[in-house]
Amino acid sequence: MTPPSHDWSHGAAGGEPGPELLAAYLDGELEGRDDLAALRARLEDWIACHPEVRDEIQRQRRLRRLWEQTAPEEPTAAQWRAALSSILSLASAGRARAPEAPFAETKGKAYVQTLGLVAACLACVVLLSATFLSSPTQPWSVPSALDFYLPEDDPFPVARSQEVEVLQVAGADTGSLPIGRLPVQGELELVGHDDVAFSESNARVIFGVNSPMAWERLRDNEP
Amino acid sequence: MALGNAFLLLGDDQLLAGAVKGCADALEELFRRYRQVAYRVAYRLLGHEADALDAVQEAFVKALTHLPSFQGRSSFKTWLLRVVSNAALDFGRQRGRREALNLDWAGRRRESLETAPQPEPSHDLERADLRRQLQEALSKLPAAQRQTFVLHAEADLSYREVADVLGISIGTVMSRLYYARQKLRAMLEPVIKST
Repeated sequence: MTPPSHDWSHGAAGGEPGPELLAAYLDGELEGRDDLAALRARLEDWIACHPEVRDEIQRQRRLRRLWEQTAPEEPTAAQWRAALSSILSLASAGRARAPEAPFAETKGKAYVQTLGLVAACLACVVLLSATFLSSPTQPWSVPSALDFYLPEDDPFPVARSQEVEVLQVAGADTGSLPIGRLPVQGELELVGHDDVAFSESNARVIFGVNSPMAWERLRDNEP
Repeated sequence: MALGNAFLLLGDDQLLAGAVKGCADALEELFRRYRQVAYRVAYRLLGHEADALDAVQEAFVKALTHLPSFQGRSSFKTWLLRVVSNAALDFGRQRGRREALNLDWAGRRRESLETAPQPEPSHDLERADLRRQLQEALSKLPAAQRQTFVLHAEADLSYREVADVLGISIGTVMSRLYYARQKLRAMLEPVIKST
């Protein structure tokens, strides 16, 4: 798997910012932050050079305006008063029903002590299991100044669909029929049995362990 | 009930301390501060005035009943909005089951129309139509994306606050917002073009 080629945190030229970074820009998460000022400026320069992204941002801003224009009507003062009255009486009733000491009189000290001992044993088992069975994990070096993750020294590689090549697919894993010629890059095309026609003269079938892995899609003018 | 001016000046922590002791004025002030944002979030998730008000009531009752267990790890607002948004989603699921059985939805809808503020002509009709289209698009989002988007867009919560409300990572918040916006934008393209 090839990690993304952009490296916006280190100011490298080329590549493109991820959608999360663009969303953060749109949502104003980069504003008012001195530590992100350079990133914001670079992002604005990049957006200015990519009209399709600039247009998408404009569309998103229009969506936000639509959202603001359609704010709901607030309930009337009478409705609020009725709601508050109901809330106060129900909340009081709820607090009155809550038991204060569930084990105080009925279960006895020995029962409580037994429960505590069992809980302590279980906790020891869990802790010991975690110590000996868990694999070592990489610590995240997310700067505390940042409210959201930006690729820094140890980026977590997340691939887009176009960056992944599917080398093998078993039809039984998907519950449907994968279509395409391997290796597949991008989204898998899955169809049901009613969606394709099998022609011995044209289909190319690659067999896996127990079931077919991929079928080449018939072209439209073929029988 | 007349509310003393002193309660208006108190911070949430002080009001919560009073509310835990059963002080009605403190409860009333908390309700007054957060009812609007709670209602807007519930309405966006449900698209129905009466159900949104019911969800807000239920959420406040739950919140007030469990106030003693509120440990202050998050703000009261984010804690309350978690309760509100979950209550609204539960309401939506129950309503879906009711509608499937064709029970009292028609009556509640009638009641909602009778008690809702009467809109003024033309401008508000257009706005009501836009709202209806937006709600319809919103209802087609998966619940997780819808909840995330509403908390961010309506409650004006930051990525971190939304993550705190939902108990998810900030990366997941950003990812859900991205896909929610993509889908909404696609569904509302004709409307967006005309705004």
